[in-house]
Amino acid sequence: MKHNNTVPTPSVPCAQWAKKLAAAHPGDLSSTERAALDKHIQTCPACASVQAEYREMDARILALPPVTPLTGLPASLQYIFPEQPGDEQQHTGKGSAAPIAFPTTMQSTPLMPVSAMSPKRLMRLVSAIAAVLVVGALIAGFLILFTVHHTTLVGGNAPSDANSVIFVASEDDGTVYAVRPSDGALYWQHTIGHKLTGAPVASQDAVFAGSYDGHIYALRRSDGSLTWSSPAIPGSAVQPNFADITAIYVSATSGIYALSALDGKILWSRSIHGCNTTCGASFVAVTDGTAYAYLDGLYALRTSDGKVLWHHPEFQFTTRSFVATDGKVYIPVDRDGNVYVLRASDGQSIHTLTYQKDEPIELVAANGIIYIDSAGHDVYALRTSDDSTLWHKQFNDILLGMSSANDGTLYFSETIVVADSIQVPGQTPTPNTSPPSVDVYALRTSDGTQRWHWHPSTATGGSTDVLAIKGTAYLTVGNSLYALRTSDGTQRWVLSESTTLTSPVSG
Amino acid sequence: MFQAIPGDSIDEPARHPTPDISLTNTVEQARAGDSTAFSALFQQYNSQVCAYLARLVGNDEIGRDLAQETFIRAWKSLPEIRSDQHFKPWLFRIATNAARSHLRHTHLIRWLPWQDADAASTNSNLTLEGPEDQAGETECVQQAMASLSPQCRTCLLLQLVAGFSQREIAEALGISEKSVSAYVSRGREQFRTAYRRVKGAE
Repeated sequence: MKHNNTVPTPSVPCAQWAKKLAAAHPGDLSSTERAALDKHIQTCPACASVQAEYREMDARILALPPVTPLTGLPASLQYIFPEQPGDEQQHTGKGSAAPIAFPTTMQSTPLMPVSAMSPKRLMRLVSAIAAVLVVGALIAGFLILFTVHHTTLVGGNAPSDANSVIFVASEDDGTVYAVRPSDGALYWQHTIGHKLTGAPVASQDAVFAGSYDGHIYALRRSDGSLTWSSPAIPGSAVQPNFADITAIYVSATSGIYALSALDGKILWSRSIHGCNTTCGASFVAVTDGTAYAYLDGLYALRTSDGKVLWHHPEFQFTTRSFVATDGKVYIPVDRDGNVYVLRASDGQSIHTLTYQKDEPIELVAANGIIYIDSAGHDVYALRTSDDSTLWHKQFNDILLGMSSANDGTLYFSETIVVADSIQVPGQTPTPNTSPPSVDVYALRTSDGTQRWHWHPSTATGGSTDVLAIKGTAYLTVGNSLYALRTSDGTQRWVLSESTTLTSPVSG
Repeated sequence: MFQAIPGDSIDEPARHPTPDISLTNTVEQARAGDSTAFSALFQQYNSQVCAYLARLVGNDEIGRDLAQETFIRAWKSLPEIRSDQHFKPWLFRIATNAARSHLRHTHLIRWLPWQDADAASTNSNLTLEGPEDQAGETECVQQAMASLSPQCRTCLLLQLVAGFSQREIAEALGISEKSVSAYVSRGREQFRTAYRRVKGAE
């Protein structure tokens, strides 16, 4: 039954008291401030009403259905920990767990102990290390000389060849940049003027960005000029997910939308129905005329008209990566520890790959191989033709953030304790913040051995996924876009802007 | 063969007793690599971290996924925590960044899997019998929460769910108390207005 209530106009608090009214924690106001506020409330019905409403709203937020906590420590930690409190039966007859040292580097062949080496060998080793250091210093000097530290605008038309331009955007000021892969110089930059919801997506003709104003903006690939802006899309978090030559696939909190790449008009859409808190709207893959999307479950939709090809309500929206390749789709479900393999054409189950339960499962695919990271400890490479295992490698460390497998290299990009969590334009973070730790690991796709490890000395924010194209790996760390050689991880150039940049994309 | 994922759980969150050793000592022991001490910290903050992340991203399952990563990352970076840093803001900072990192990382992740407040009037879920219906109330609160900007929502939830003062929020997010005050204030106003709008549209 609908109620035709008229919405009462909320009381407006006095401007000078507004912030104090919102201070809910006892420690937020001094006793003097608290007393002054109480005194004001007694004489100001508007502020008294606002305060009462804030308290009511707090109670409503706190009365939301409780969230079930984790049943135990993540299994990857249990794997490291000998035991944990709460497992009383396991504790019998044993004292407390001995302190353990967490390994901080990847597993590698141990060096021969120094004491076992002859003096000659030791000298050779020291000489070799010294030589490596000298060469390293020379290379570093060379790289510094040839590194772009500031934006260089070269102008001219950006080429339309596939993967010939890297696009990146600044969410805060709504600027999209077209970057030349060879040196990090800019073909163009275009300020849309609205805060963006995330990274842009690119096609052969255009680059598309979603804005908090509910519109998608299309910029011409060659020169960045605005081609069209879409009609307002209902819902918030309006974000382009994929683009091809005919359409752009957009998700929002209200549902999913396919827009014409030509003029931004909505070609078809599907909204969320019967959603509880486990739903989410997002395209997760677009390939071979099929778009895969999460709504109330997983849908396979025909890209031309949005017709439902198949639907699995069992598979709910997940933060994990989704792979559609070689006529199959691979769906990781952390809580089951399974990767479900379905036939792309009809959604029928082919088989299920089983890994560790209640652990993050990450997938990436490239060149007929799917890479599966279970719990950050075990990485598997499977041939997608028959899902047979090519290799399996275990790591002592936890490697999360598997993002790309190109050029014979498998990338992990991880950040711990990011410093730019909430950036306020023009404001310096308070000095007592921990510096973020950004690490990129590159493994050989042939056997999983480490090719190189990159750790920027000055990181100013979180890192994004790695985009690997034609011998270069691109990733964003805070305000900077880095280009690294995929062969050895040396830095080719870095492009720095004044605000946080999105993930790099190409098209 | 596919295991259905249950919807809203009816389980009460576990109540964990305060550890008998002081928090500072526990953090110090965990920092030195004592897994038992870290487990105690996990027990103490598990519920709050899960609730915070679930409310932040609007999805219980994703909240728990991110909580897993939060504790893994916390364990890994615990040796780097400085003696003058408070553990709880530090942990919630990791949690906040786990959420943001997921949003930034891939095109798969949307900030809000909730329905839009503006679309509420056309949604059949909201035309429930009786204005006091619990499901309807939950939807209204969630939709109002979803309409807040990420910054405001983060600050408001750190205040309400984690029980932080504005100073602690500032420490957790690495921004000034003045900014936190502005975000909390704006967040409360936005929430109040959005809730009334959604409720009025019901």
